[in-house]
Amino acid sequence: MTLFDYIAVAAKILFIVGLAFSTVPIMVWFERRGAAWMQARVGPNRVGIFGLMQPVADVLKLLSKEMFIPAAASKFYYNLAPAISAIAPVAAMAAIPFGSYLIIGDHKVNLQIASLDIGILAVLAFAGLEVYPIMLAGWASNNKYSMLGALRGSSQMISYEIALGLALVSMLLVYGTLDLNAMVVYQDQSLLGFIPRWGVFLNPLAALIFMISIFAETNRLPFDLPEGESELVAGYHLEYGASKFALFFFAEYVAMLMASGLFITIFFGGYGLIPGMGWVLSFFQTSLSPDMFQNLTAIAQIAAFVFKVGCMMFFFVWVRWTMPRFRYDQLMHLGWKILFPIALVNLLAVALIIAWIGV
Amino acid sequence: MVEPVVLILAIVVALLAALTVFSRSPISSAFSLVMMMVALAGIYGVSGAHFIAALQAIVYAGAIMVLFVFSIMLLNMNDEHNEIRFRSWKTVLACLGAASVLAGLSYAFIQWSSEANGPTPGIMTLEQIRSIGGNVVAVSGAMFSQAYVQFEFISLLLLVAIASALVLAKRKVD
Repeated sequence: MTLFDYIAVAAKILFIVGLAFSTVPIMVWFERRGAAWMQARVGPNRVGIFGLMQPVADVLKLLSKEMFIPAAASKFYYNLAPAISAIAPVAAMAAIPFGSYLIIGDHKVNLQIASLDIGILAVLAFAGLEVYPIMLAGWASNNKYSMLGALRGSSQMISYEIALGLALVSMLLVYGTLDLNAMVVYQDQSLLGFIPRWGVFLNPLAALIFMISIFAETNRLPFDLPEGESELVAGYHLEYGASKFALFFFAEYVAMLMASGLFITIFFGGYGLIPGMGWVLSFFQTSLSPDMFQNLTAIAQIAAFVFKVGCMMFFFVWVRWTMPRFRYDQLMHLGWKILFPIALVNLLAVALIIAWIGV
Repeated sequence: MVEPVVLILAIVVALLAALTVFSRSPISSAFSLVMMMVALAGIYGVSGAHFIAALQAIVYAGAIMVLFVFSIMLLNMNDEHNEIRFRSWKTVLACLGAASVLAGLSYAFIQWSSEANGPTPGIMTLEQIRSIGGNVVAVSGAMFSQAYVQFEFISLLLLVAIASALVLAKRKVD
């Protein structure tokens, strides 16, 4: 690797980590203002214009509070849990492409930190580690509410991973690759001449199952039973305060960001341009050199990626303040007796159709 | 020659393996094993076997060990009963087993390092794998053509294991 490669990789890592760090305060603000908006109240509006400085105040408060460790907790695992919870989703984002490539001088820079041919498996491997911080936090806090939250969280994540995996396998049959970049390229065509060939149009049932499952995987309402306030006070992070709580909070939003990125990469064309953007770009095609046009396209692709992820994050907030929380037996019933069989039948149907068409 | 990153990861794996055996609480034992699996996946990844690395992390760290930790947390084992008793025949047997595995591995390593041409090559070279489209295509091609019958037998075996676990776990079978 030359110096240029190191700088390119460092810049991409900075972009992804920066995206994660800048999304969290925006989402915290939007979650609170959005909640107020949907519930017809005012929401935080004292700190800065429209309360925009509220996340800064929240973070300052959380970082400057005393770091408290409960006497009965096992200290090592108690401290380890929030760290893992923040690391796993950020690491998973390394394999998600956020643009095609830039041409700088005579170098071609792929807009993806790790261009792996097994990209989706790498994302799943890191996302699969997200269950440990919940278990560890609940167990290490030595508190029965934390423990119950941890048990709920881990069994919920294990259960919905199955439906999520089966929905994913049906899409892998369609794309015939594990490379996330190749999936985006596949979706960058048009279907029947007028709609983009996105996964959601090819296999809407898998998209629905996948979406429901990522709500359960990220422990968001209507599946936020691990921290169900009315029963478990705060669930697995009950004994956490100050900056360790802030890490859990950060991790929840980064996990949402990662799940949204994966979802749009598989079902909504990833960084592929939104219909209409290609038309606008075509005006610049004649006046720019091919390299510069590629760079302009890449920037438009990054914008499309960020926009799509933003829409998905909005959807997360929208659902949170619209749906009531499930009961735990309802959650398990939905996961095992409804989503799992549907995903299995869907997989079989997709396999038969593909065998019939002979792709 | 061993790369320094591999060496560091190997030391981490060895330390975590020792911690798995010698830690007192079952949770920290299980969690050391999880971290060991992840570090092992790191070794595979650094060596360029991304597919195996991802499988290692997904199957062992992400699935099997989750169930281990989960059941340990549910069973709530007491720490007092986990002292290692050196006189018991189980410990002696375990030590004998470990020693024989170590002997086998050392023998293989000595054989490997004494061979002039390095390790025996596999059935495919790196160029062949690259030309047919990567590790995933190579492995799945072999699995669903040459080893198809064995693959089906193993899935049957897993099904039998699941059914028997169900029978054992259920108190009354109607």
